[in-house]
Amino acid sequence: MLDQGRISSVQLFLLLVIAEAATAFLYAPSDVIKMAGRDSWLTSVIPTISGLVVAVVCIALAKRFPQQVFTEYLPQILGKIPGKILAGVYTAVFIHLSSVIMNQSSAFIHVAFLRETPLVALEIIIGLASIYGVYLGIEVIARQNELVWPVWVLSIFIIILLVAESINPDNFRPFLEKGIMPVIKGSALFSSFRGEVFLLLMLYPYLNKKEDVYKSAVYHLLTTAVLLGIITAAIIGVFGELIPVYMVFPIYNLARYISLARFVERIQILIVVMWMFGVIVKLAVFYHSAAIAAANTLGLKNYRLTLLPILAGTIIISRLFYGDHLSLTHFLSHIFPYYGPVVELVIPALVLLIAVILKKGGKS
Amino acid sequence: MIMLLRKIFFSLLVIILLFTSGCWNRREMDTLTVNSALGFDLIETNGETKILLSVLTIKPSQAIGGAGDMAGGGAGQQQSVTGQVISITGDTVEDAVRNWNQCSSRQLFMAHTVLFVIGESVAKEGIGWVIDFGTRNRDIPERALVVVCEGTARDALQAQPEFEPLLSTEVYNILNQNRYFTSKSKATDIIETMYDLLTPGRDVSLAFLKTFVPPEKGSSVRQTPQSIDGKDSEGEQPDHKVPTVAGAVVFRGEKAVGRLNEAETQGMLFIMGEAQGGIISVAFDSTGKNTSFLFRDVNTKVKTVIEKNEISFQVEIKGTGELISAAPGTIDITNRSDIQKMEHMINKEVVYRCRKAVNKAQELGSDPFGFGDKLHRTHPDVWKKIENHWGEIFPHVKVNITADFSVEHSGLIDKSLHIR
Amino acid sequence: MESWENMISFLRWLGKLLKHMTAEPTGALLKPGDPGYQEAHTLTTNLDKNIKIITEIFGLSDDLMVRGMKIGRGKKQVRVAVIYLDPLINHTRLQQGLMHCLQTIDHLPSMGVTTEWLINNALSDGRVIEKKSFVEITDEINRGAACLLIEGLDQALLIRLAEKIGRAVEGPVTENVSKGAHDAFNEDVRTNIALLRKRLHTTRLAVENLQIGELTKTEVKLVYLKGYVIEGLVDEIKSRVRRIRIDGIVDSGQVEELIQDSAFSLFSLLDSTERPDKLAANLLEGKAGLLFDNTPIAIIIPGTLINQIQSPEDYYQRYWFSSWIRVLRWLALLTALLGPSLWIAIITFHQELLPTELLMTILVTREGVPFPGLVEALIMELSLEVLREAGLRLPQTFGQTISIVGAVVLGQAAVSAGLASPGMVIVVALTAIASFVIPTQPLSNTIRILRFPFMLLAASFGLIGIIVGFSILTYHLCSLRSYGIPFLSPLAPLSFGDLKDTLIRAPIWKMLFRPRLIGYREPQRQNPDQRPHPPSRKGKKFIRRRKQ
Repeated sequence: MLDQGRISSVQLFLLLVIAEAATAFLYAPSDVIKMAGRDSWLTSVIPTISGLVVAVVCIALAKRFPQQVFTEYLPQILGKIPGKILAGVYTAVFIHLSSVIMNQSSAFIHVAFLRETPLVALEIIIGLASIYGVYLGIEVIARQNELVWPVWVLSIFIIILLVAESINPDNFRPFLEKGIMPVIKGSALFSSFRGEVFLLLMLYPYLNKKEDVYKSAVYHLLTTAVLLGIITAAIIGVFGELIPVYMVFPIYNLARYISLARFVERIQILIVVMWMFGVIVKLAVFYHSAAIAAANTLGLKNYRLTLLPILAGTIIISRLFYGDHLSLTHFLSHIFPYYGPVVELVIPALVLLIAVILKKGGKS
Repeated sequence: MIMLLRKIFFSLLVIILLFTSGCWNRREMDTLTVNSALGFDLIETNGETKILLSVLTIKPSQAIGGAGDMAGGGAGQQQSVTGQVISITGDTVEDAVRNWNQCSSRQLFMAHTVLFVIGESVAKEGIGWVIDFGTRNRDIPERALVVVCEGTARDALQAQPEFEPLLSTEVYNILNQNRYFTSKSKATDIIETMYDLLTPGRDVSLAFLKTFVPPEKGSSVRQTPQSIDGKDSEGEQPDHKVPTVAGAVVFRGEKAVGRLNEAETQGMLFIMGEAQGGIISVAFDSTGKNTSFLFRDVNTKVKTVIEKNEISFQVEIKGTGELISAAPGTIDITNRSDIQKMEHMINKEVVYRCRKAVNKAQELGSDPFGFGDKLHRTHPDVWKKIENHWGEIFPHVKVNITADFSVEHSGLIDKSLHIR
Repeated sequence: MESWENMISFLRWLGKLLKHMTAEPTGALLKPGDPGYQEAHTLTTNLDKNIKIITEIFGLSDDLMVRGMKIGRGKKQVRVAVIYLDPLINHTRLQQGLMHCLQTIDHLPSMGVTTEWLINNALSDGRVIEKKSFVEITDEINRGAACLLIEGLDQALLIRLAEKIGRAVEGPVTENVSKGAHDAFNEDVRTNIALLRKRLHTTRLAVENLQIGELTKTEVKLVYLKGYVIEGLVDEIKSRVRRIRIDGIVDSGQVEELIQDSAFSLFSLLDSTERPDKLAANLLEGKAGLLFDNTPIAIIIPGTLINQIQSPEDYYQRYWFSSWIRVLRWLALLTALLGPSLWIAIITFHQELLPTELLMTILVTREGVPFPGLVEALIMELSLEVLREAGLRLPQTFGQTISIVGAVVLGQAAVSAGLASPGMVIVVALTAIASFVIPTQPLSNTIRILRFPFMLLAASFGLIGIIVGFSILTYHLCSLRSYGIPFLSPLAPLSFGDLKDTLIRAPIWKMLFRPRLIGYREPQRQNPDQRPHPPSRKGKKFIRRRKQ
């Protein structure tokens, strides 16, 4: 273990929620509503089950090597060369996911807020803030997250409370007009977002009380489901199922739409605050995993050395491959649903299988 | 030590990055023109149809009235923020917005837009692109109201507001309060318009903005602004137009097809459940409408009834209110039979207004009430069959309207006066 | 490359300089344990030689008094000498406790005079110790002891007769409260210990003596409650204090810099106070304190951010009022930190967030201001800082003038001259007032400094810049530890039970436990169920009986 930090089960739970919801709450509703229409709020239910499967697999694997992270024990299971290669693949995956998050974060700010500011500049400052957190270690990220959480929950709470009067129950009818299939399709899309619980592979060793890991995972899955379900429901309740299809960031529009007594207005700033605080922590978590994975692959003793190259790499990937909005949404709604499960579930499950067969690691 | 130097170097780099970035997105206040309303027209120039964008801007520099010293002037001086209408043409709206910068040193800042005024020409050709502009532009607030005006929007925007410094705020406030005071016109914001445009079985209805020259010469309010200072009010008699809202314009798809007058609009609002306060006058005993009823807490239920392939709607309106004025020798509120008679007349009047609205709408082939939407929500299977020709079915749909109002109070006196 | 070498050689030179500065002065007295120490530096039996050596050690000190006298009657008289530093001695006590006693000795023991005999039979003053080595003797004389040398004995008696020099106990200067004790520490460490002992009448209060400074030999007292203090904390403090090799310290602030973690942090990781009640309360939680001679400011170890924005008064007033004040203080903290930067961000980036009417007003008042928002804010903030510093250093009589000049010239005149907009003046003034609400000086100073980077960030990225800056700040705060205790505790890492004494203050009867990370050795503070409630039936009966 390259990071000596220790986090509590509550911190792990909060960290996992942010690592998932911080970007999902802004990007996911629009895509899901495109698929599942007015029943989209249901789509937060089914992915919870798939998330649970991912969590169970990851925990089972992690428990075999309680003091090591995923990329550290891969060579022990698969042999030196294949293990290193797979660790390298996961390094690439984490860097890639980081760059997608980075792209999402800067794209929202760019589109909705600072149009003339170059995306690269935004990405650099957001990235610098995040890698500063990574530099300080997982413990600090977890603590920062504890500070971010109240801001986050309070903002969501305020927004939902203020739009509550504009919610039209008619917008939820007719229920399941086109059958259950669209919901399942939407759930499939959501599942890949919700599968980010696979970060447990990289976070498990830091947990101070290992027996609480299931509690953290389950609470995390339930909380995320409730959060995203409520957000999606609020969007549909106010805008119906047709308008959000056209919107890129429906929750942002929702916050803009708030007007209470013509005085509580223009509180879209809450979304930006939530978004920035959340994304900086989320990015830090992914960067941390990427840096540790990279250091393991390269056999470095200090993971901090990899930070600046990774930052540069993510910005370059983000700018080169996701330069326009289309390629990002294409990735999120067409590639990620397949790509996600593979790295989140299939590979860890195979590794677990091999570990069980070869009897590597302690008993899970 | 070298670590420290590296740190210092690194932070210096960051600071330099920050400093050089200083001018990317900055817009100082004094480089902006804030606008309060946007008007949309179509005009023909050289055989080409172009968009004429009229912008009602707020002129801040006039607000201090040229008073040099701000230290002394601030308190006593009345801040008379005035508007100014400037029109620009362009191929698209955004083109027009950018063309603005060719004739103005200040950037157009639209985040404080409260009113979209759609000219007749645009309303007839289709309002889709206006709504697209309103929702796509990140500056324009979603709560901005959309109204259709008589003639061109450019002329309408030049009407003189009487109670507020700006026309836009005046119209905005009139429309927003309307629901609770008269219920004779409808406040529709951009999102609601978009919702009506997109939702099947629902048509757009927007408030109608009318401008006229007021006949009251010399009234304290309806005078030119200069006369407030008491300078020269004798010579100038008002010839400015003033704004008013009158009824609603209904659309079929994105195109306007006709107007509902005030009574019809009120009927429409009753059916939509948006009428929350207003006056209904009825003729009690003697001729002429002589008794007024103020309704409140109106609750409307629309039920879909399907019998033998025939679709009909049952509209039930329930409400309470009070007697607010009565001509001498008419109603005696202490008498139960009088109340019942009164309530019966009110119900009849409400049903009449609603009926007129429905008839007019069916005549125009537009469904601003959302009957089709209601059908969709309650009977999705039926809707599926008729989804594509709702436009043809709607004019022949039967709508049954019942009203049930009750008189609760009668103000500070009960009986109407008995003049000897 | 050459510059690198230059730099390195500069660093070497710097290192040498430092080494030179902290090295022992050559020719100084040898330390105990050094070879040859025993022979050269202990007393002899020859009185004259002893006196000579001591006077030589003190050199040309004018204030060194040597008074020879004879004790006893008749032939068996013994020569003694009393040596002391004149300004340090309380003369009454010298007269009564020493001189008078010596002069009234009637007969000397037949066995010869011993120090033991003198202590038991002759000297009335209690604070007497025996010393042999010159180092110790001169040290004691330096601290205000009178040295009694006796002919034929290689031991000296040192009677501590120091005059208390300095102020009496006065009220606090920086940490004022309206309700609560009004005494504060002063420059005399003995008085300070007394003030503390007065509040903690327990044998568990340990006062350990440490000493810093090769020349100043400043007395430092480490105080803590045995059995309550964080495990290992005392040893850690001692080792860090003992590591200090310095010519001298004159204030606790210097030591603070030498013993705090994260030397480069802008935050002060140790709390300091001049209030004995605050120190006592902190000791009760399980912290330790350092008291310094010649410094009225005590250091509390470990420090937390929460502790720095709390005032002792919070505990003396009703809990709902204190909670309200604490919420206000948090708001003030945020205002002081982010006020100008938020203003800059809003007026130069996010005008859409202002209500239209306010935007109009600002537009009107900003018309004609020649500077962009950032420059305007910097000018105003800098002039305010200068004003503040000027007000602080000036004699009190000028304070009034400064505030008038500041208010009129910088506020009113800058606006009417068109140099600043009224909005900016309001924001800057509000920020200044908000920063006065922060109850401790170090935190207030940190906030003052941090305001400027935030303003730069706001001017280049607007609100995004502020949030990024804030994130970096909180990351930094989360990473800080003070003697092992996270600086942000109990907020991060969150200990939910301790939140009752952070953003709000729960009623005293609710504060059942000590802070989890600090007071874990004796978690419980008080009896549960101490909330005042109406008397039970039994109690009512009792009251009734009493009334009859």
